[in-house]
Amino acid sequence: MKTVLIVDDQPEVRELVKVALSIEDFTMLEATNGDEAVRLARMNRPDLIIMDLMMPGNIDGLQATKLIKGDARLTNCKVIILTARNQKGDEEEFVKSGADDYFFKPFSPLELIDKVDEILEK
Amino acid sequence: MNAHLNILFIEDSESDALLFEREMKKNGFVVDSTRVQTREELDDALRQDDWNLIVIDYVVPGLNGLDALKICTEKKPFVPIISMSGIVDENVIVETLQSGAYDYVLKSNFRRVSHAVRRAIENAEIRKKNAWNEAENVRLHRELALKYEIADICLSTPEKDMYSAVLNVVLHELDSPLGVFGYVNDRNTLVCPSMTFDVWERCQIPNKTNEFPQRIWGGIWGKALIEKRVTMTNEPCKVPQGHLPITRSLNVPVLYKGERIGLFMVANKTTDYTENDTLLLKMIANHISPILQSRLEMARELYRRKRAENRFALAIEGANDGVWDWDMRTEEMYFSPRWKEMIGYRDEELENRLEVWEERIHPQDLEHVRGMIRSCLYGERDSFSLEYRIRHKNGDYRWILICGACKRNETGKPVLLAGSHTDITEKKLAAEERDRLYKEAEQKASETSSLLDGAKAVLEEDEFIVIARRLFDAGCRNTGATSGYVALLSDDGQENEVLFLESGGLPCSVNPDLPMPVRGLRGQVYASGKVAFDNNFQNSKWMEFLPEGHVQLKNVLFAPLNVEGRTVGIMGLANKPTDFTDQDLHIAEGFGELAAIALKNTRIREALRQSEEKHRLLAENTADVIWMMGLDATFTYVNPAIEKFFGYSPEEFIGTNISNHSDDKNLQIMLEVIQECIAQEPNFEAVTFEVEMIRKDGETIPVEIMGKILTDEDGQPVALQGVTRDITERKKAERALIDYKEHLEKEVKERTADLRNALNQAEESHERIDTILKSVADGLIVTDRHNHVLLMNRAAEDILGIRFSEAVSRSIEYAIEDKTLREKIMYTLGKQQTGYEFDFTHEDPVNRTKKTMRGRTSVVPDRQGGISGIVTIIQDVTKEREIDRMKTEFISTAAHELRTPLTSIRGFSEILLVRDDIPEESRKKYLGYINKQSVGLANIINDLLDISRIESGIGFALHKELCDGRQAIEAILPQFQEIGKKHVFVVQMCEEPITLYVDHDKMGQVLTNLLSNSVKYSPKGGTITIKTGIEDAKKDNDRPSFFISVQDEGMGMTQEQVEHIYDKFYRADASNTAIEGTGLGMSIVKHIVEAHDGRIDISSQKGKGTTVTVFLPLNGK
Repeated sequence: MKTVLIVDDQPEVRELVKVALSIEDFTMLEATNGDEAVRLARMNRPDLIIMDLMMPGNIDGLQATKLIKGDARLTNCKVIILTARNQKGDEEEFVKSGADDYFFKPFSPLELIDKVDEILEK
Repeated sequence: MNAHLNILFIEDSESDALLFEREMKKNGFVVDSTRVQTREELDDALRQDDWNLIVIDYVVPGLNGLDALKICTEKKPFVPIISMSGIVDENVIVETLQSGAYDYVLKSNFRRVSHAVRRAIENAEIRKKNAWNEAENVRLHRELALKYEIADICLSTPEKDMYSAVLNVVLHELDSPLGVFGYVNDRNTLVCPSMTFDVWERCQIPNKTNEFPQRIWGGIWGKALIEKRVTMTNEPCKVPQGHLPITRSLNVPVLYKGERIGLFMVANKTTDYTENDTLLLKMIANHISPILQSRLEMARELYRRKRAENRFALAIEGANDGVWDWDMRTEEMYFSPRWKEMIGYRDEELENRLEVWEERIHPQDLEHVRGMIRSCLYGERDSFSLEYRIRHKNGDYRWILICGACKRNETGKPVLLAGSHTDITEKKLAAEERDRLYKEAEQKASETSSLLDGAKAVLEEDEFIVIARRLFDAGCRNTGATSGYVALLSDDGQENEVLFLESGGLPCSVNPDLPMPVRGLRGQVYASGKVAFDNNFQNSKWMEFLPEGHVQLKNVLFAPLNVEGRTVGIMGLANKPTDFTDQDLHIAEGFGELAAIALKNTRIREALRQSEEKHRLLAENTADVIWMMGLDATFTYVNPAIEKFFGYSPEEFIGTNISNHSDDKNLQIMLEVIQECIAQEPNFEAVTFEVEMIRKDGETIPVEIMGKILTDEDGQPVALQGVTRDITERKKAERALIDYKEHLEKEVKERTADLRNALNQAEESHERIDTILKSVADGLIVTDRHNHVLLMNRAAEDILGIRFSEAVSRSIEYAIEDKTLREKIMYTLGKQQTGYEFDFTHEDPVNRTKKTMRGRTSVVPDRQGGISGIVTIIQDVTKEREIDRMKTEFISTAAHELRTPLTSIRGFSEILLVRDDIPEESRKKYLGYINKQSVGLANIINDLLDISRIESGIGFALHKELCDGRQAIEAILPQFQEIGKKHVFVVQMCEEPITLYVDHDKMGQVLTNLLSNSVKYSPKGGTITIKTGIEDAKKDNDRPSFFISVQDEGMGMTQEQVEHIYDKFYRADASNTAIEGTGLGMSIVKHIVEAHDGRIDISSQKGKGTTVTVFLPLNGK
């Protein structure tokens, strides 16, 4: 069973992602800020991280993504950014951070499932 | 100096060019000239080669002076350029000088022309020479680096890769895509282990091979091999059917002592092969020749040895060995006829006896052979083999491989010893020869690598003496010499000037200052330019030249330093423990060459340095008067230029006071300036001003003075220094300009009178237009086609921070500080465009605020369709741009706020729609989320609408009515008591009824916001206190006001958070996501309260709680 780490400061969004991905198919982990996300990723080496960007704490989601993608032990860990940020130049920055894909809020859970399947199959 | 000059003028005014020429002719130049004024004409003219001088007018319509300068400096880097300009503006002058003009001449002062031209031409000559020297230096370095690279490849690359590695370097250097590098073998066949990548693959010809026997040597490359000379063509070559086309080709044979040993062929360079390419490839071929030769010798030897070994194997196969046996029972020995033949005897010539054998064995090998046989007989071994020497009949020793075996009877006693003899002399000699060859190759390698050491030194160091020392040390190391020196020939060619000397630890008592005449063995080297050595110096004829006390010299070797065919120095090596050899000679020769290269480099550098010095001296010759004076205004120094300007000699002038040279009015001005200078800060920049001074002959001349205060170490003024310039010509020109303008004005006035019949009417209308222009709110600037200001209105004066009266008739360089604006105006003029619209930032000169301005330029056409000037309109668009920015920011933030609730709404609703496996309990929960977020969304939208109304300036439409403040509170409170179950609400209201004149709904919104903040930001609960009351007036003319405060015991805020509380979308603790909200609430509250002429007071303490108090005017009708 694959492990998914859901990072978002809003409990409702985490729940939504969990429901969308169905708990039976994945082992779910949750984090509410960037620091926690990095710590959990290093500890559990998840197959996939769904990462919000604007979160409280020392580091935001983009920095967390960079740390995770720059970690040699986490090379197999895919990251999908899920964010409400959508301004000029943002997408370029997402790609630079090393994220495998990105998704904008509000989002369709069905499309998210497709994206997750696609990324995990690669 | 070349007195005949061919001058190219880039100038629209014929008369200016003629004036320039006349001034030149007056000063003895013979002048031919051509005048151009468009880009096309300039390009045509620059195709010619014989210009001695280019004169560029700064302003030529249709050709920007700076552009022209750039084109000229690019295409004719060594033709001196002088910029000619009508504009007296230091910025323009500096700009042209920086862009490559050597000097400038003002149209108002042609007197400087001949002086400037002389200097410019002289300077250009120096630059040309410097550039040549520099190029030569670069070429030498490049050649050396290339040699180094190739030698490195040859030493470090295995044979099979060497050819392609070298070829790659060659192709790169010669910029050629195709090439071949091969060697010529014993059978005169050109073998090419390396051909460029796919040459052969791409050729559609039969019988592909990379070996070319002499009978098929053909074409231009064959010619190079057969005739042993370089062949080159830049025409397409004839090639066999299907062969790749060869468009150009260069072929250089590699020769060793006149024998062809290899070939370089490069082809299909995109431009023609030149003489330089030929020289370069020849240099590489010469350089690689000895290395290739040694490689080939090695290869040949290996081939020969292989064949010899084959022969040997054949001999054994043909039972060509000698045979021997020794019967122990009978003590008889037998040697076969072949055994005897091997050592030169016929069968009957030798007896079959042990002694016959033993006495012929080489004394050094005898014991060895005996021991081997003995050990076999005693049963220590059954067989043996060893190599030994046996004497041939002719007295030579032959190398023999002897094999033997022992046969025993049943008791183990030896009965027969038998074996074979094989002559291995040839093989042994071959091995010795191989060792010798290896040793030789090693020696050559060490020779080359020591030369590389030297080459490195030349590349790494600049100082000749350092390089020479390194070369000398390497020379000693490689030859084994223990002492010596490096010396250069003195300028008169008579003496040897020693740079450094190494005595090798031996005593030497010769006075080092004594001259070392060029004579003896070193004289011979200086004369011949060739290396020479003497291994028996002690007894040679040279001893008579050796001074007393000189170091004992056993042997001596001198290598010359040859520069451009002349011997200019020598390197001496001496006292090698063994004799100097030809190899040492070769090494020393190499070092001599390297030292010569280094010396040449150093001299070129020195020449560069000296010419720079000369240049500097030239620059010091100025035409202006330079002076120094004491604080009492008495001159302490003037340069000789004073004579030309004031008629005094410097000696006469020094010691006079400025009061001797000016009238009272001008004296007053100058003294004031001096006082000002002294009063100013130290190091204050120079001041420039214009006055009139009196010459020795009593004539008054206008001058421009640029002065600066000089201070002592403590910053106290001690003297003044400056430059004075005669500006008579300039003044005349200015006067003429004013006259001309007046004349024009007069004419205009007359014509207007004619047309309108009444001067008064005309003036009235003129004034009207003027007034209109001046009152226009936008800035308006009119410039002429020389970029001089013609008109500015009041708004432009304010924007640019300069009065029209100051700016009129002056260049925009002076009038307009902003670079963008200035450039756009010039660009409009230069490109003859209809106009531009552009933004630029402008700093208000008074309060230093930045403003965004929009400029628009448009061309004012003249009657002929040309340009008579430019009109520029400037608008302050700061507000517009700020509003644009706020709009964008608002939309992006609002969009973000809307996304958050929409995420839940869209996500959960989609799940509810498509999934039927959701339990009832969860369905309810999700619907709850959706509902909650829709409400939130509606609130956000309301807030956003409020905010956008506020920001767009529409504001609130207040529906004020009289109401009781207490009732309002009581109406709202219950819903909060419902939500904030953890909280205790305490209400302390004043007793008397309070009548307020407010918008009931809006004030309700204020209270709701304040209460919901208190609840949200005290999540742990606590007391929320609501107070109302009357605050007395603080000042006499203030009215008492009603206040309502909401106090909580929540998390509170820091001072910084309080400061941002009214910012849109600001949330005090954004990290605490348990607290929701858009961050618009307090912003709206503030606007509502202010719309009621009220105010808000916030006091908060982190961790303790917050109190918000709203003050409203009582009976605020």
